Amino acid sequence: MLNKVYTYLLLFILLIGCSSSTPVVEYEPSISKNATERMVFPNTMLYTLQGYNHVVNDHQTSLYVKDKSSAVLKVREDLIILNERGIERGRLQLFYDSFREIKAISGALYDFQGKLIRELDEDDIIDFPASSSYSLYEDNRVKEATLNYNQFPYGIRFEYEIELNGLLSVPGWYPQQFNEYVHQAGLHIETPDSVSIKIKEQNMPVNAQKNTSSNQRNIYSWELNKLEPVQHERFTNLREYNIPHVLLAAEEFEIDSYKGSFSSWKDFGLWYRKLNSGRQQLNEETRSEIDSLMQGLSGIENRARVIYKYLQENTRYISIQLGIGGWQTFPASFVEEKGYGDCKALTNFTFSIFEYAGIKAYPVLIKNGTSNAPIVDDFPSQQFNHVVLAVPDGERYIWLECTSQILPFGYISLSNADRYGLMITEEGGKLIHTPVFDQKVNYRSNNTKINVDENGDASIRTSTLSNGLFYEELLYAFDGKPESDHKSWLRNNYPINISDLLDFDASSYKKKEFPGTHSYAITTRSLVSKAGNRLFLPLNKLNTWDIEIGQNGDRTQDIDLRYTFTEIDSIQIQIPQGYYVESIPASEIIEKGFGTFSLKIRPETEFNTIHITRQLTLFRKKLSAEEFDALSSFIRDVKKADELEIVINKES
Amino acid sequence: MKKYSFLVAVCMLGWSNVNAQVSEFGDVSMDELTMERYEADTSAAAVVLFESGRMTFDRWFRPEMEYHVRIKILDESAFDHATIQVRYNPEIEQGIAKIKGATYNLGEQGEMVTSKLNKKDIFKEDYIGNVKTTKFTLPSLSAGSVIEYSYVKKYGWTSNLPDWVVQRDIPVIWSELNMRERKEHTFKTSFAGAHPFAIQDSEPNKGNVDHRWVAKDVPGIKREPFINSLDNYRSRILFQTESIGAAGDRPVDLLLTWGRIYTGLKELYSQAEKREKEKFYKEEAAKLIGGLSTDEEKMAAIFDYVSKTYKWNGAHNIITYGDFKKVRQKKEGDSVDINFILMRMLKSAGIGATPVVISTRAHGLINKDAPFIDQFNSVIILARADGKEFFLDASMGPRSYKMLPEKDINGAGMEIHPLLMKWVDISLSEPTKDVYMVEASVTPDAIVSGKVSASMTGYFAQDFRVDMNKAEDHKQHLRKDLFDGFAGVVIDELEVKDIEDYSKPMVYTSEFSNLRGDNIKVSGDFIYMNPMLFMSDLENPFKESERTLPVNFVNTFSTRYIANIKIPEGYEVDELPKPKAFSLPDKAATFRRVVSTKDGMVTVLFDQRLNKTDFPIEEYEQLRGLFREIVESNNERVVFKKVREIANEE
Repeated sequence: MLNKVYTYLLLFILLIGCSSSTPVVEYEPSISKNATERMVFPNTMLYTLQGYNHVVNDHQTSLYVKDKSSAVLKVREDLIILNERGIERGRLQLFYDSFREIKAISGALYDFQGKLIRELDEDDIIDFPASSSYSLYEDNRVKEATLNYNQFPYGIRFEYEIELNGLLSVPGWYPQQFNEYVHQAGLHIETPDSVSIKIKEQNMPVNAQKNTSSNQRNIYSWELNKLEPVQHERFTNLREYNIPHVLLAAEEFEIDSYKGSFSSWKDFGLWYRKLNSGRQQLNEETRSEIDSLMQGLSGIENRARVIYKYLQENTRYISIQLGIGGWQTFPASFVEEKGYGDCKALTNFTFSIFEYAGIKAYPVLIKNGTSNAPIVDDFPSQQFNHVVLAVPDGERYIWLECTSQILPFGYISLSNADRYGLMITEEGGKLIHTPVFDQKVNYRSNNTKINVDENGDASIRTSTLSNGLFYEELLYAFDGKPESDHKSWLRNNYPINISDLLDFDASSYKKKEFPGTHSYAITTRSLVSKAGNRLFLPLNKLNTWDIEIGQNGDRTQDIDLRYTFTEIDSIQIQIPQGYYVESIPASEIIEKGFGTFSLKIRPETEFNTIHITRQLTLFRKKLSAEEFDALSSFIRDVKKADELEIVINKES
Repeated sequence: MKKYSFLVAVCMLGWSNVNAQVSEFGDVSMDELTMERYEADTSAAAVVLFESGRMTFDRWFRPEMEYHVRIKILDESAFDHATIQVRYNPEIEQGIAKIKGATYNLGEQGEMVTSKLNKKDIFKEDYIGNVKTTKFTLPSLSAGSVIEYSYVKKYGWTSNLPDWVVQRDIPVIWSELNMRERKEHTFKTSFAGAHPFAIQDSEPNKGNVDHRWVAKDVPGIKREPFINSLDNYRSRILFQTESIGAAGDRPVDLLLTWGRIYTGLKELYSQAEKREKEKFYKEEAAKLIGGLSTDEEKMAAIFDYVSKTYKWNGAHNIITYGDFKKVRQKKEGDSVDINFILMRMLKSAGIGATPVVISTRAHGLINKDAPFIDQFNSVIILARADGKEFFLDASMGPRSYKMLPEKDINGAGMEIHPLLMKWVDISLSEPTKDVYMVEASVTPDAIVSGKVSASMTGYFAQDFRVDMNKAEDHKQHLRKDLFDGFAGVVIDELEVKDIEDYSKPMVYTSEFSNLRGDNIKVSGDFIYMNPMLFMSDLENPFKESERTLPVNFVNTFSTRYIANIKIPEGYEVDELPKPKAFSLPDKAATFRRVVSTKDGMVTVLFDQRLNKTDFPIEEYEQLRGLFREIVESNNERVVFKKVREIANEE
């Protein structure tokens, strides 16, 4: 279900606001219809020696702002594709909708001498809806242009022109992607005196910017040369940290004649509130239902819980986005009538109920997702793609994700957690940090009993308590699915082959309460290895740390340990009668500033039993790049310890 | 014509079927509303209470389907069934009309609450190209709702009517199709799938025939690993127009036979070949085959060139008019474009080549009882060189001419030979096989070094080569492929042969050191070692204990692993795994593993073979068991023990 939100959000983020019908701006000559016969083709020998698959030879972006509600974006990109692995770069995807119109796309293919092979034609472009299968109707679409060739190296030139009908969201400038060399890149912005543009450089070298002004027009320009490839490294917050780029926003904007300002978060919040006001009227039926539900209830939490349950039972998430509808919610009556809505409509509907019930609640704009960059908090601008509801209850907030039928009451969910959101209050917008998902929240404990017989066959009984991200992962696997699916899930996700699945119980996940518990009993022939009479019992094969970490020494970026966790495993192994422990690993403890690991092994010979306790915690921390080696050796040590074995042998 | 349309109207009025299951729109019973689970399958998240189709034809014999379905939503995970998308191409059909929809819920007083689909909530969207989508979702949905919708779908003129498919992912209690077959417009029907049609009525009615088919209690069907296409297993009715003729006229025989389809395609293809001059192909071919002597070599060179030069655009197709100018310019085309270019070049080089129309795996098996042209969806080439036959498909990028892409392996195809029609069994020209030879030694610290030689053919070679060519460097690929799970291993030498020549066996030799693994360990006086090294991590592909569909592998295969492991200095063998051998009946799949010791060496011989590709459900448990034995055996260890040197003890 969360996927719905993800996919939808990806698209929503592309929405660009603003008013209609301003004539085309006067700007530099438009894209020529015919491709030039030649393209400047660099010497690719050195690039190939460097191991590059493609390079950006030249990237030029120009933005001509006409007034508060219109601008034209022109991009020209010269790419050199060096081998098979670079082919994908020859695909250009342009998103468009009613606020963002593609005026022209052209492209051409050049051979290694820079000679024109052919131009992009209609067949090379496909046009399709950008909406996900969960959307009923959205006006976002994609034009995708692809140029391919089989003789390497070859060159591609793409040129396109986009008209922005409104400046609610001015696309930032990202001349470089991961793992690519950019020979040169430029950004050129022209604005009239009447429009002021906010600019924020990130990771840009000094002196890249040259500003001039003339004729009541301000000109800002940047030039970058020889950008070395940037690798994507684990535990970072993506390109916003590493790749040079420029963020842009209009100081003032206008969308469908709603005027707004980005001079502060407060102002942007005011605009959002105004845009969505007067849409909270509930009908008689809902009101009387809420009245009866609220009867006899006291306290904000109790009442909020009942309202959330009412929401989950009566609505579902369906996305409809048309024009301003990307920003403006459908009225509460829409959800009443149809029982569905997108994140704005469902949050607004819930908000309306709280308002009617006399409980304060605030919509909070969110940049949803687990892998995107954080909000740039000192740069008020359109950075959001989702909205949730926050209900103040004394000192704390109760967080409600209104698009889910699955999540428990008050559960913010991983993709909304630990980030700034913009709370929409009566006084305007206010940045607020959502709850942190760290090792105190994300915990899991496994209680496992293993019985091993002389043939090495094992029967395993485990009961698991999960919270936070562990809980959420299982919630999506278990909730609303029949028992046969639960069993399939276990069979397909269990680290070893299951022979017989005797019992599986995940019924606790139906209750929508966290932490959740599930338990199972299985038999397996893949846990224990054999050599004649000896049996090898792995210390921990069932809950290993599944993480790939890069090589030591080449880390360049700081490390952000974000979704940290605690795991506790208690394992009791029963060995067959007549067997003795031939070798047993020693207990160990590793303690580092960013994590701890302990392994305790205690044999109880008189009962033929071995007790193992394993605990692993990673702390939410920021580390410098130099600390990467310590982190990676910690991970390796833990993995090594998890691979240890106990050897038992038959008494002669 | 006037007279004729009058006839249709009269027929419509006089035609009604009474039955217990299908009810009028809105006529929802309390039983349906209060139903809490479907007893025949208590895991079902939703169940189709009934679905009904009524097929009629307009005066131009264009089919029109009145479709009506009622579904009980038992759980929120089945909400997707309430969102409906119908795609259509307005150039050839009219899409859906007269859409009606409603959701029924149980009210607080136990009454039925109806929420109707609003016309405004029906959306039309441009999909890709000319294709449009009509979309709607039903309102006020919750677990327990009954949903219902109906529409009329108008098809363009078509000689073969849409299949009536009764089996889907959720169970269907009642699926009914009614159709009037007029004497002016006759059909042939055939059935596919395992679930029977409980009612098959045909009643003469004033010279026409009224048909009624009902399938009851159809279980849901679920995808399982190792099947070709799920559609092969869905129960359905297929139709084919037999003849058409206005009342009183002599009917036009439209019945397609495989013979007619063959003749049509043969004509189309021969026209296509005439469209472009042979000169171009001859020149192109000449550049490639200079100096080559045998036809097979020439064929290989041409195939290699076409498969490396032309990029597939992702579309399968069987129709071509032979205009490849643009394809040649762009070096990109669909399956028929690329394979026709291949065929023409082969023929120009004097190699016999004919098109073979096929159905790809995802498109379903060909049902020979139902001769429809759209059972085919792609074209491959059958070449005859040096007295041998080769099936070729150059559309999937660089590959061996001996190995068709997996997607093309799907039973029989029809050869469009200029002289006669022939069904041919699509086959591969090379077995899929790999052999690993390992020489290794172990230090007293349980660190392994040695040499591995691998030789692969068939798909093993194909896949390995493609991946190795894609990888940044060869060693990196080997680290991921062979040494996966051995993080610290050092690849000292790597010799790879014929990496670009896809038709040769894939052979490499690698020297490695510093290999440590969680199953190679020292403990006290013992070294425990899994002698299977990089073959020890095999997984059983069959995880589920139950199976509902037969198992289908694309190809047979065999794997051999032979290792000579030097006993560490100062150690002796303490224990060896016992020999194991298993075989399924008729040697459909076999496995053998022997570990022995001789001359200071431990020798491992592992041999696994899959000798047939199709296993019925009854053989599933055995098949799964065989893989389990393999996984288990590969997990066993050799134990080396330190030799006590008695002389030194004093």
